[in-house]
Amino acid sequence: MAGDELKSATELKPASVKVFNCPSCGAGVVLRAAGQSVTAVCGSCAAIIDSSNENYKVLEKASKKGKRDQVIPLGQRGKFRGVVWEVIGYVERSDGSSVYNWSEYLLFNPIKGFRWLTEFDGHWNYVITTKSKPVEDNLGRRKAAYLNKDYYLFHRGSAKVNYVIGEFYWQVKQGETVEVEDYVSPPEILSSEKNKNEIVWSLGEYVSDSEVKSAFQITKPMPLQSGVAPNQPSTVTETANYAGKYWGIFLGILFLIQFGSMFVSKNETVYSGQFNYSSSDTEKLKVSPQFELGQGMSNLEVSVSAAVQNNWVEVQSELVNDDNGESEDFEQGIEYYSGYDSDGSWSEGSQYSSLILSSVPSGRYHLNIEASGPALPILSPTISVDVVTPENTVAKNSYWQNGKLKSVEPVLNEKIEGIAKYYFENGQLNKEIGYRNGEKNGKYTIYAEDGAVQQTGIHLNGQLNGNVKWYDPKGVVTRDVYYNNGVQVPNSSASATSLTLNVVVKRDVTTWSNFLWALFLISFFPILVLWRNRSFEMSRWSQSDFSPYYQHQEEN
Amino acid sequence: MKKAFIVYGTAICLIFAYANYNGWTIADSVKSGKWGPHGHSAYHK
Repeated sequence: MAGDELKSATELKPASVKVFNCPSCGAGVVLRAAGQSVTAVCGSCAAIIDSSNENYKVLEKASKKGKRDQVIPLGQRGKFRGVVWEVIGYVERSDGSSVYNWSEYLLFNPIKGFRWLTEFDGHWNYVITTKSKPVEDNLGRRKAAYLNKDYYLFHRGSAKVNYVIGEFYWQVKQGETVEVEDYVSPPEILSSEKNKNEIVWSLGEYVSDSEVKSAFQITKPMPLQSGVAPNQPSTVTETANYAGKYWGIFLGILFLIQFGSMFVSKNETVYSGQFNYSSSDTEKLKVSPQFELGQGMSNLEVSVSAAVQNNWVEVQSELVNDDNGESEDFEQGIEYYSGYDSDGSWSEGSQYSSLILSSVPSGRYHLNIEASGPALPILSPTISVDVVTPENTVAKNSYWQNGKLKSVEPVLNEKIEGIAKYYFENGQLNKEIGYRNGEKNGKYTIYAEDGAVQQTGIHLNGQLNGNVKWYDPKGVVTRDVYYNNGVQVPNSSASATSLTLNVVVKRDVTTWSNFLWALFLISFFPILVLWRNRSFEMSRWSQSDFSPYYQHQEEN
Repeated sequence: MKKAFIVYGTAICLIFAYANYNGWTIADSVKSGKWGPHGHSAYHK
């Protein structure tokens, strides 16, 4: 839209159609806006002619040919936005690099004046010159305000006239270059064109190609659309707006319901008790006293806690309805670990666990509880740890090379039976190990070369069972680890003697899980829409040096 | 689309209110939470 400021309808002189002969080639040149256009281009020889007066002087000869497909021919009339327009001029322009080319169609109506239709990459804009100068704001994100609306800088560069045909209301020149700035606020685009003498601002509105095609009865194929135009309206913007609005309303309703539920929740403790597990227990199953749940249907929170330390316990429970015999079973785990490392103290897990049972009907209930895990007391092996060597065994001896005794193993029926002894090369006792039927069973002791006890423990059927202790030379225990069938019980210095399980049952408690699920469900659609809208905007602004989404080097 | 979202959101709110009223919890943390006849088999998995 290079050229002089557009004349408003009231400033327009009456237009009339006039024909004159081209001073360059003699062909007839039609002036469709005679009296208003100041330049005409001969359709035959493409000479640019001064049409502001009847001298018809040639301003420039033989324009270059157009590179783009002119889809609306000169003289074509069409009813667009309720007004009949006639195409009187066509310009092809490009940016400074000549990579991007676009078309501009000058429309004329004797009452309304001039308008433009521009086309780039199949995207169309309906453009009018502004009646007042927009206010530019270079603080922060660059923008321009026009008619109380902000437009953000999208593009800054130059535009060069490559080809013209028809007539124009300014003195058009091939190769004429202006500086342009485009500010966008979809579906509008505010553009400024600046040359040495003036700045012209125009306001464009994105229009669909189908609207243009229909208005001007275009029979040729319309240019194919590609990419997202700077001011192309997002198809999901409207959806995003209402989705956000109703999301806010629904969120408010959810909060109201949640806080209402919290307000009316009884949070009533219907049972609280302790169960003690000790090594003398023969029955792991514990049964709570009967408790009663009030009228109606409500949830139930079952909490268990135990003072486990670097250990865990699993609690299997059964809530039994004593009125009808039905039951619901569930499991809870308690594990808690803590310690110190180079970063200081640490802990993970919890000595507490709770769960919610849904919609438990009223009635009389009791809990069956069974705990398991290494945190529970472990019964000591029930075998005799004292092994004696039967009299009818045969001693099988072995010797060191120095002639000293190396081992003495009592053998019965080709299997070691009793206490086997092993010696150091100096003759000092090294190990005493109990055997039954060829397998390690009972106590064993390991000695140092000076005769001090180093380690004691118990085997059961070949496996370590019970406490294994290590001693320093003074006979002080330095390490004490509990083994269960050959497996070291984690972090246990000794078998626990008891564990107390605290159980609390509450009726009609407040939960947030329903709220969070409802929040997720009502948020899913708006988030999807916002994500699509953002993707669209990012695609739009990916073409700009002034994108709010990408880092860029802004020109000064 | 707009109408569908309004209906959908309203339905979520109603279900949420009904669930809270009846003590029904979506995130019921019971792994095998089924009511059944009380007995050894129901208890020991």
